Amino acid sequence: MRLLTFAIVFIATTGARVDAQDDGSWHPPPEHLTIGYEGEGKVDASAKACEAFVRSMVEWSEDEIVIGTAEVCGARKRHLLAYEALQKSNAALRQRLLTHHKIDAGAAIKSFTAMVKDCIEHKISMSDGGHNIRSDMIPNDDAAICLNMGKQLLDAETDWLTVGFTVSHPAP
Amino acid sequence: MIGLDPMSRFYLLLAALLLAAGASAYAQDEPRKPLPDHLTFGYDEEGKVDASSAACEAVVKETVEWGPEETKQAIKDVCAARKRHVDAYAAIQKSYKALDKEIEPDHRIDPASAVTAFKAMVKDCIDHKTNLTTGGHNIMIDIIPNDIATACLKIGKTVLDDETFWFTHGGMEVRSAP
Repeated sequence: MRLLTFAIVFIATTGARVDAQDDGSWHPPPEHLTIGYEGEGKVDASAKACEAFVRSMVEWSEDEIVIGTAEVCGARKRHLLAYEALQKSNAALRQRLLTHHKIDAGAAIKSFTAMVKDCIEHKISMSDGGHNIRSDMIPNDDAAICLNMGKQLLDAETDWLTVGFTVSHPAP
Repeated sequence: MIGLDPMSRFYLLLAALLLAAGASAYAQDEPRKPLPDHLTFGYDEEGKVDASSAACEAVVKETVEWGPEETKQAIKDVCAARKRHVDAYAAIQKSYKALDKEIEPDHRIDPASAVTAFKAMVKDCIDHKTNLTTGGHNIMIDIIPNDIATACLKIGKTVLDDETFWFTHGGMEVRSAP
């Protein structure tokens, strides 16, 4: 019976979702971008968390632990800052898109998040994953680089939408 | 599995697991497939851009009915956008070749997956930018997709060039990730 109830609720929910996307009406772009990569939104850049990670990975001298902690925290902070910056850029572009109802913002944002995720996957495949503390730094630096790339793209598009579509610069 | 006693089920499951593990080990021992010589992204009109004056003139005359001066300028604009696209496409292929030399022999990394994700990234960029426009009208219908492709190919080229630089200038000694 529970399974049947779950199935009914699931079908009803997915059906409603399809309706919402297929109704042809304009939908506002999302307030928050969710890219969908591993560890997204779970980065803890506190000194305590970084130190705990370093101590769990290596058996180094206290001086080396201090340096290792700073390295790990640095990479985590770069990731966090890049994530925040991207959300800020998204908010700015969103403001512009709210006034352009002819633009399919939903599809544009969907392919944008896919692009950033592909970038992260690409960069992860380009490295061997690293060892000891590098195994934490590499994914954070990969994410930071791709989020920065995405931010630059969004900023350029916000400028383009702000200036307006010109003959010399007709595309975003 | 229905009708089998628990011991037979256990051996059957064990056999299946060993078979799967063997297949996986075999796959890992296989030589790596070479990377493609050329990047194909899969976007509309990829590799079909004709930036010749005759082709640009044909599309302009087919799209608008303008005076000779305006037509001349439009042909120039259409051709310029097409050339930007063709040049960006050639440039990304060149950058890819340079990176390919660095990553192909490196067995610590997974170049095939990296290339697949990279191509998807450029295609998603084009889809994203295409969705940010209304498509334009008259000759802009031709100019916009060419400029969008150019912008995304350039972003891709920068990514590849940065990575080639990373591999050729110390790699992990200078920065943890490419």
